Amino acid sequence: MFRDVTFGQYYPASSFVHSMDARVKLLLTLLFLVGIFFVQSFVVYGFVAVFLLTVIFVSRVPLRSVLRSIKGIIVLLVLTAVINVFFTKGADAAESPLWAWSPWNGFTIEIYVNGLKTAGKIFLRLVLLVMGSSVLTLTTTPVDLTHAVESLLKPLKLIKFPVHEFALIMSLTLSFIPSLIDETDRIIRAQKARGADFDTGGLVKRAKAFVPILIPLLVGGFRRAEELANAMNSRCYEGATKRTCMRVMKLGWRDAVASLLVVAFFAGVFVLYGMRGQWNFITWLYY
Amino acid sequence: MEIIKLDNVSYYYKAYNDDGSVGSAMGVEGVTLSVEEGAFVALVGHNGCGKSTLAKLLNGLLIPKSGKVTVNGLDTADKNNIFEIRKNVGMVFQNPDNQMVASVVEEDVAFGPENLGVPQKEIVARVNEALEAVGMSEYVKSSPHRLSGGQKQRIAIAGALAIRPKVLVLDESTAMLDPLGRKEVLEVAHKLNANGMTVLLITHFMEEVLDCDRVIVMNGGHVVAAGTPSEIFNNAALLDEVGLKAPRAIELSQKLISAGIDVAQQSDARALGGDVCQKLKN
Amino acid sequence: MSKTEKLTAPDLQIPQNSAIFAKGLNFTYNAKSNFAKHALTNVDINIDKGEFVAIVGHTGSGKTTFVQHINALIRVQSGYLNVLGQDLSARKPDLKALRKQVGMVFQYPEYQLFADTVLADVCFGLKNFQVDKDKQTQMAKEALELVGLEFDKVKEKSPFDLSGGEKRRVALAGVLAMKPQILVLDEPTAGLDPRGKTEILTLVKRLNKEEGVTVMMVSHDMNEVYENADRVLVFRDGGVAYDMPPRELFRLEDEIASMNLEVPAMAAFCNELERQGFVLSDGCKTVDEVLAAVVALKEARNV
Repeated sequence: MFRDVTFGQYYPASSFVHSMDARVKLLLTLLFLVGIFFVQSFVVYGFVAVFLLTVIFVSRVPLRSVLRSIKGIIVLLVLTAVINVFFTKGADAAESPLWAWSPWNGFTIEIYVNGLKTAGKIFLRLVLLVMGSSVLTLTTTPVDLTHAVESLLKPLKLIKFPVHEFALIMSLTLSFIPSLIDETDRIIRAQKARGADFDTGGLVKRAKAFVPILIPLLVGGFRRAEELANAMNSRCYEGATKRTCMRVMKLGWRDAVASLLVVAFFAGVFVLYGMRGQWNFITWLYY
Repeated sequence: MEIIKLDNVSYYYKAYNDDGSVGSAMGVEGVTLSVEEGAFVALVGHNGCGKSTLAKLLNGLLIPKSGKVTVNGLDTADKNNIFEIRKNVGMVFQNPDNQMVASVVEEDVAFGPENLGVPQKEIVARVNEALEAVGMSEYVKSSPHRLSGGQKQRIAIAGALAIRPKVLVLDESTAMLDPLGRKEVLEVAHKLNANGMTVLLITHFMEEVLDCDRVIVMNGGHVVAAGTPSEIFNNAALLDEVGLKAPRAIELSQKLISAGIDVAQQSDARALGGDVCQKLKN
Repeated sequence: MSKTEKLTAPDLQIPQNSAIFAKGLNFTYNAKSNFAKHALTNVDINIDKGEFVAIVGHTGSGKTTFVQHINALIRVQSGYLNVLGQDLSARKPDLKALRKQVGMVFQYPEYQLFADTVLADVCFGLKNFQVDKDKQTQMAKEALELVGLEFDKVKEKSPFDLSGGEKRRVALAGVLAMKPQILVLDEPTAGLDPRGKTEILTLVKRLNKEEGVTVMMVSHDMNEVYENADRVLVFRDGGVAYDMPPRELFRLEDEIASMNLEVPAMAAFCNELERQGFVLSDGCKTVDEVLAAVVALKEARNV
């Protein structure tokens, strides 16, 4: 038993963020993701964090749900932090290690303050990245996201990119995931009942054990595809030509306000980045 | 008026022989039949008798190898007619999970009209109207995955209705449902028929055939009989030959009659019981 | 689920001839989360060896959860369950031994076929249960013949080239090859035409009557239940609402209707006769049995 996959991580609520246009949310999230890479100092990371927390507060999604998204990358977080702590050298030759240990000749482990700083920044960057994007998925249904992607990719039609087909594939995938999971579950149970063992043995044996699951799934997939094609044809599907769409996406005042705020914030970040080493009157911003 | 006409239609599938060469397998052969506008027609036969092939011939999913299929006067073999034909023939298939194209009910129902290029406002109106007709209005924003089999098939019917077809073909749409789901789907089909929709019900549940205007029996790719439900049910030899069975109450009433207990042939077992009691008391 | 209320075999007085014995069986899906859902509450059931039991109930009634307990596809959370002498509430029951003895046929079993030949598919279970190689073919042959397929004709064929009804019989053979003592079937006739239905049901009934296989059959078709089962378990809201022979159960027309189930045609007929004072024997279930009884009644009155 699992949560309904079609709704993904979506956290139903009515809030400023929920009622924004999915396209705007998607674009602003992209801006956020790019913007993060231009942040250079802990102070500005602090600003970004406060900014993100404000957005989360406004979205009425419990902070706990947003933090849960970090769970998935915890290994990555620890790994990158450790690597940076141990392998980053000093900022310049003058910096002496904070701590050093030489277990045998010619091999020394050194930790520099610079390494700790770099590790800390990368850690913050990853955490903010993941939290930021999960705000999008927590406040937008996958269906809305699909529509947003289709709408935003429209200009690509000029270079003959099959935008509509791409969006249709996304939407069909979404609608098939639940029954695919059900079917996988059913086949696994059926083969288990016939004595199949998926939990013991070496790698090769385990890999082989999956054949009786994969083949029925594949065969089922083809049958499904054929039936679906028939169903779609019967409902007059003829590709993108002259197709209309029930869903209307409308920009509202919320989208304007949110865009203004986010763009202004990151404009500041970009300016700060471009002026590094020149604006001596606000050096504290560069720590 | 005849809305669907099949004239000596045959269809063969490509099949591989045991030695790997390409041969053919018969789907249907020499089928001639017609469906009157506004009728409720049942097409019955055991699995593999060709009834699903026939269904796919009705809206140009398959094109006859010989013979002619016309829908509302249009020949399905003419490529230019296909769109118009599919607008006239709504089709619902067997597996409810394999005909959903969207993960929200309203978007699934909207798929047809969107394909037709219907203006946005009218799509919304059509979706609401179609969901209303199948009694699923309250599920407009639901995820189809969470619905019961019967409800999913009603959504699929709504998806067909949104195209505003003249004929609704239910291609074994009740085969995978439990009795409750079957009842839901049949009630919807009869209601639509009462409002003028031509319905072609393909099934092997003989109980579902009872309230139809006409029953067409298929076997081995051929139409072997056609008639009213009671005419078909009275032909025990035919049913036996094609591997079908009259509903139990009808079978019992027929056998009682042959055993000299003079009851009316009927499908309601309790009423039949009442009749028998009358006879026993006399 | 507290472990303290765990029951053990000696306290329970399991009947001698028991095939499946459940006492106070509980099961909750997602027990620890907000989505917790009680699927079984305090289920007590004893099924003797050789019985043909039908299981009836709507989606979500708990019947599927219960059935999957029988061969430990779902493990006991709380309560006691014993299948063929094995304590399934134990920490580590011998799953292989259990699954060899309990054959489970899922809904639409033809969708689990995977091997390139019919023979290989039927042998899949035998191989998993470490049956001798030279015995496997013989056992597969017996199973295929049992389900009415000609061994030499089908053994080298791809299961995907068979017709729908044949596929289902191959899948069934794949379970029967293990010679299970208990056969659990989840809607074995779903999607089949009348002829296919009769074939499967005749086979199951023969296994039960001639080979003594204990049968548990989940079904939505009340006519099918009425004509085949010795006993019906009606699941409702995670518990067993009724447990009685079909003739008795389907006399309760109001209760059946309130559960949104159907009364089988022949039961409705007999009930009407009984209401008007004509009692037929409880053994009359099929059309022909009922017919014979009515004719006999008529003749007795004419004398």
